Amino acid sequence: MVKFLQYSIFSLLLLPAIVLEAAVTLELSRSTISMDETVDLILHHDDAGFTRNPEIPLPDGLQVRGTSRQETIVNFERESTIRYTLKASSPDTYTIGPFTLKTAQGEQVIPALTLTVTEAEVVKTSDGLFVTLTPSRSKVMVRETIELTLSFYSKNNVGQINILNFPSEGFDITEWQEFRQPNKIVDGERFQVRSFSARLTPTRSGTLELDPIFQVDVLDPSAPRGMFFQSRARSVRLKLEEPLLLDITSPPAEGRPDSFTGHLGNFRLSASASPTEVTAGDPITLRVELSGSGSLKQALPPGLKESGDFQVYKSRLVNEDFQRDGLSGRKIIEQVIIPTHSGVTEIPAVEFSFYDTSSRQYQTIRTDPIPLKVLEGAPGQDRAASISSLTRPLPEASPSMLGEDLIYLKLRPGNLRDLENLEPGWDFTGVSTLPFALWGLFSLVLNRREKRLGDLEGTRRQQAPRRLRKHLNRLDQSSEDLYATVWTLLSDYLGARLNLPAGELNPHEVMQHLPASVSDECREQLSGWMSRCERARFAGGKVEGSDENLRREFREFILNLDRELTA
Amino acid sequence: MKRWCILLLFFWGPIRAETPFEQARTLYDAGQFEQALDLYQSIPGHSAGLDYNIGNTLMRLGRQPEAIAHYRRAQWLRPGDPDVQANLNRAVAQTGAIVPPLPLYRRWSGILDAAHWQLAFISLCWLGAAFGLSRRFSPRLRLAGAWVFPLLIVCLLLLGAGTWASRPGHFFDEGVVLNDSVTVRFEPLPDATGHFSLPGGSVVKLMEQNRNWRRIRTDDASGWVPEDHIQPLAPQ
Repeated sequence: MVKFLQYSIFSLLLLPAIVLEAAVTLELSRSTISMDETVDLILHHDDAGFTRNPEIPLPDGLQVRGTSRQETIVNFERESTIRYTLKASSPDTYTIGPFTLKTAQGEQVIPALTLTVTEAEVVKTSDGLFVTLTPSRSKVMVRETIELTLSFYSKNNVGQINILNFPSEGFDITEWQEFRQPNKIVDGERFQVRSFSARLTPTRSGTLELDPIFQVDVLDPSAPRGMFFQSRARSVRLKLEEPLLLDITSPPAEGRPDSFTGHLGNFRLSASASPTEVTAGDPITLRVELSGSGSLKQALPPGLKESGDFQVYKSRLVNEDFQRDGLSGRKIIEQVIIPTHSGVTEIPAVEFSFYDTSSRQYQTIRTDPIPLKVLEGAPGQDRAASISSLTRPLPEASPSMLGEDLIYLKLRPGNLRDLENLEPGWDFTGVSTLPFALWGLFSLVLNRREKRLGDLEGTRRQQAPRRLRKHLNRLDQSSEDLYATVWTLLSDYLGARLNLPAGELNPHEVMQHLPASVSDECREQLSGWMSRCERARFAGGKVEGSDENLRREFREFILNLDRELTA
Repeated sequence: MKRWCILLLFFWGPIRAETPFEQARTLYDAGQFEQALDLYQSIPGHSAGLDYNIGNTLMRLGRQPEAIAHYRRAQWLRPGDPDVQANLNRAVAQTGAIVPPLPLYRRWSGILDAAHWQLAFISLCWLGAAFGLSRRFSPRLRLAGAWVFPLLIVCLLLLGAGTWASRPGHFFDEGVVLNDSVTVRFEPLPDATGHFSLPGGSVVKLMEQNRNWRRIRTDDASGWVPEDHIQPLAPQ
């Protein structure tokens, strides 16, 4: 019984752990798809702790085209879904798994899944839908451009169109451009037509077979509309009724000029040079323009070839303009050439050979020779050897330029200065820092002034010695009663120095406020002078001694007191 | 008095003496390039315009490397001048010289010349100090200080950078190869192994001196050349 209870408790304790174990499942959205379809491999898990999408081992021939992740939290339980969009490279039966997946709770074995991929169904016509591909010519030459027209005939609206397996070798092709086409009647039935055109230029001879597959979304008006009332579309894979075969030939060997470099079309050639009056060794810019239509994109205007008369440098393309058709236009090159001696009288003609597709024969076009006047260069001046400058880009010349020369002198010299004086030196530093120094100085003065204005006691105390000296000067000239003058001076000085109001100025108060720096002797003298003044003022006491002596005594005393107070 | 002033103004144009700069131009127009050059070189002081005109005169005399030296100095003094650049390009095309582009800081600071940068910097210092002082007397200015001072500091930094970038001392260590071509040697000895050669007119950095040899540096190599083969850009 006890054992049963023990097992029961153990089982109860284990239960949450079993419930909490992450459940990982893997499934396919469909088990059979065609080659043009994709399938979703869906991984469900309840918080398996995947920080990144786990890697699923896939058999050869299956590729992941994309992944998406969705997380939902319901009743505090998290559930995650990871979708792997798969695409097969060939029709086959594929087995995914079994494999082991590592989760936060441990490893989990995922059972095998089977996916069958069948050939995609390709039709030539489908429910009033067919496609045509028409070349402007079925017999073309290498580097000759023809126009291809692709038309989709449909009784219903056609949505997106994809070309699945258009070959890409043996020719150059431009982007497909859609152009407007009216509805057409075919076999008594009205079709909507969507047409596209592109230019194709074969690059090698032989038979070129074009048998593309088109994936077309056809809007089905009879199908129920979607949630947002949009028409439903179904995807149809279409083929041409017959593959398009193009016979690509090379231009004939008969009559082919030596200078023929494989270009077809109809071209014109012109050349100009500047300057045409130079010293031997001076560079000349030769400008050659090739215009016309045909394989101009691949062609380059010819340049002058090296000869004893000229040292020539690599030409560079300076301009190219094409019409909207991409076939006709012009290309301009510039080439630096240097006449090596004064006997050179002209720049020889340059030539260009091509196969004229309209007259079906080779043509060689030439420029006219350009007359040149070459003067003898200075002895020992071998400027032609300076290659580096000529290979670097020169300023581009405009078509109307007649020549090049130095730009004329400046009419005014500008400010003439001694360059060494332009170096920022002590004077510059001084003039730059002076305003800040002045600012600081003014600020200091103003601060002190403001402080003084706010501290009247301090100001009085500070000014007391100055006022004392001023009063002492007056003491000698005063004709008033000596003690009255002395009292005025003492009260003014001590009131300011000790910050005492005039009413409190009596010997007792003064003695109390005197600082310790004042000696006893000085204190006694001060007390004596104050007593004498009071006696003289209130009791009308007589002045002892002569005025002159008293003045001298008082002067010595008060100056001594000022010194001791200052100390 | 007024009448005299008007008369003086009226006659000022015709009676004003031609300056040496104008006289040199007259000589240049007459094809007397040697005399024009002497006159230009007698003008005291330096300016981009003067160096440019000397460069043109030297070009007419076929002395391209020396012309490049003057064009280069004009380019340093006024980096944005298209005439200087065009004629320098032309001289370079004729000699094959290697002329490195001006550093970015000088091209940027070329919107003003050195004196103007300094003037602007000093003016801003005075303005800033005046503003700082006047804040004591105006509450509105005191409030404006919150954004004026950061702005002032940024402007001072910019103008300070411009002043530094435009100082002529930056090109005082540049020189131009005078001969048609010069062999740069590993050691300052006439029979030392040649390291590389430079076409005339090439702009190089001047380094130390050893007797009558000068060590020069290009973008990727250095070596010794006789001193008389190099014309320094610094005023002599």
